[in-house]
Amino acid sequence: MYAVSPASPSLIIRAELFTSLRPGAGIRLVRDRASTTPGRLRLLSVSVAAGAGLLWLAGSSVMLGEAGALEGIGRGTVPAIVLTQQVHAALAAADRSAANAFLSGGVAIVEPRTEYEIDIETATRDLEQAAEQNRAGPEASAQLQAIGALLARYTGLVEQARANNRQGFPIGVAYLRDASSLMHRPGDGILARLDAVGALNERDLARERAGLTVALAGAAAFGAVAAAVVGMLVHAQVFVSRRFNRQLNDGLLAATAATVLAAAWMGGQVAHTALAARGAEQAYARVHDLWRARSLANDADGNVSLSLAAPGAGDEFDRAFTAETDELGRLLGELGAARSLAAYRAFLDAGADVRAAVAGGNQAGAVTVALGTGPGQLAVVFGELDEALGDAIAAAQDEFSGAVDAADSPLGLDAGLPCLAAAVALLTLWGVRPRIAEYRA
Amino acid sequence: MIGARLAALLAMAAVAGACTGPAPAATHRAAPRPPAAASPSPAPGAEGCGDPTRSLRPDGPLPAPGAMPAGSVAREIQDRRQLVAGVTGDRLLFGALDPLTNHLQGFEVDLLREVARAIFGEDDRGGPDRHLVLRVVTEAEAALLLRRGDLDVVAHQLAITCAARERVDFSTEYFHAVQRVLVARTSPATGISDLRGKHVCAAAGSDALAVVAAAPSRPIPVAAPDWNECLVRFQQGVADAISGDDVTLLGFTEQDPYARIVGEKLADEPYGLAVAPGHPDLVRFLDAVLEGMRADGRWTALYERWLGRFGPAPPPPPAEYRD
Repeated sequence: MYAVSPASPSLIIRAELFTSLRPGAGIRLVRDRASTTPGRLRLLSVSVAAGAGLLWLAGSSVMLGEAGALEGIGRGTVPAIVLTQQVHAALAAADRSAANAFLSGGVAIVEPRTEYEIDIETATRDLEQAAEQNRAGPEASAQLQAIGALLARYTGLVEQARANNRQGFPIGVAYLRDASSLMHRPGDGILARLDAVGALNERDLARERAGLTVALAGAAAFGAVAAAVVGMLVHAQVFVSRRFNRQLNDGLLAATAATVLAAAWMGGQVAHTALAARGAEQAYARVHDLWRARSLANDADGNVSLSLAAPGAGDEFDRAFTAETDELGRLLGELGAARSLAAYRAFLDAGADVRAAVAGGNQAGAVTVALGTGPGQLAVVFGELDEALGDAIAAAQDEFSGAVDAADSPLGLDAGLPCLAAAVALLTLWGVRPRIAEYRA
Repeated sequence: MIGARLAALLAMAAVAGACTGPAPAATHRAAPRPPAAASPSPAPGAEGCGDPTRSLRPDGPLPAPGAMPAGSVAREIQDRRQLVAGVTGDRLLFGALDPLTNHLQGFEVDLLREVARAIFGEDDRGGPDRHLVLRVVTEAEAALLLRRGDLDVVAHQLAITCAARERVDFSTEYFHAVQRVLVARTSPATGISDLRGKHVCAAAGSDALAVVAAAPSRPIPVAAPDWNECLVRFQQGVADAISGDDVTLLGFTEQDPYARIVGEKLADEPYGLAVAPGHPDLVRFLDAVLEGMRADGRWTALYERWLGRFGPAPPPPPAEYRD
């Protein structure tokens, strides 16, 4: 625009600025220019253009901040946490199927054994993925490595339990209990370490949540810039209509409208993101609780089998079963997962059947109820509960991904904002330029 | 004189302590009584109770199956068509779950079958253990469940000692076990005297653990939560040896061919059937059943079935009576 013609007024300003060598000359020049009508108009249009540029900058940084935080939450930290929970559930499932396979004598029923192998494979694969994608620092990395080593020891103990059991040796039970304890014991057990990794990721999640809040608060700065631009445009409008006794200046009016539109768009986008982020947060909480419920269901079922396999252990496993099912019932009640709750009640009933059989001295009958595949028998109702939880997890996971995608959408503002900012600057220039030209005529 | 009074006082305190234990319904021993007045139960107490294996003499011949005398505990059991017995679930030769069938089996399980047969007769051959309900219990909870009335009788490798008799009553001895030591086949040790500074495992709270701790050769006692855990530690190299009842150790050598039993006996472990205190008629009935088994060779047959592969059956442990 500077090279339109040699008589371009801005070129003259530039030339004057560059030829003034005395200090303070530029400021004085601006003041001198502002005191004249065309100078004032030129200054206003330059200021509005600068404001439009700032608007674009502020808006972009808000959107970048949002996108960065949402990327971290939605595709980094939350998937990492969910992955550790997935490993947790797979390991709990492995421990459960190890106990079931043990109880079945490793002969009569092949299925639990296959299940165990699948569970261990799943857990190992997920664990490797978690180690590869670890974002929670060296502490988490060390924990994941330790878990890998302990898992090797765990499978060794399960194999020893199996080998002894197949020969009818009661010591197999002792190995199985040791394996289960290695998995479940608080503090340095495999699952406890996994939970520690989850906690480290939770810490990162809290930081990313704060980042999102800061990004959304950046919209206030955008609003302030927009208000300043509108102020300048209104000032220019008033100045022009007074000086030239004219109707409203169309260019300035359009520029004002564009600024207001940009501000409204930005406000809408931020509100949309905040709302969707809250939805994602709720969906995440649901995913989190459902995975925990799934692990608890596996633990509880495993404890029924352990209690049957190790009848001499007193009520250790029965107490664990009660604690786990109580917690599970509370969780499912809070979640309001109707189908899972119904399956949970059937699961409790089947658990009571097993215990009643044990109390009646019918050990073989208890094992049949625990492993049986008839209606209402424990293995079947556990399968239903696990499936209901799996479906609920998939739904909540979809809900979460959808909410994150929605929150991450700029609602066209990424393309709209530069256009609007340019429009504000150009429309201002377009509105003011004929008035300046009147002075040259 | 003062010493004797002090001893009597201590004995009374011990009885009082036993009676205020965790048992909710210590019906037949509700009030602490001085040892001399404790009858028909023998005088328990820390001072010793004489020969604790002396039990109550059967009064006359065993009643015919299905015809238990009215008013007796055996009659009550017969009427409810169920003998509820506590056993171990993890001792290979005496009471263990067969993982293939999920049935309990062992010397003590068969012994309880004989008791059930004496009460209900042969008609329970129709179904296995039709009238015998076996519940696997821990040693710690056995006495509690007996006193609460949840169990009629317990066969759980329980050694008849004065301390044990403070909690339950015992039949005559049905098996004489002794405490010995198990080491690796490659170990040069020939007894506990060779285990100086070695880790010797026994179940936590067992008398065997106390014996290990008191051994003059100063082995390092290792307490495991249960006996099988001792074998796990032995196999993992955490424990160098295990010291416990020879029948438990024999069960271990069955499960681990690299283990062998060495040395002389460290303590006697006379096993008795435990019943709730205050049921002398049940004790006399059980003693009559055992008497019959000793006399007609069923005891020897049981021994041969479960322990015959380790050597010829010894004569059954003689019955000792106090009245």
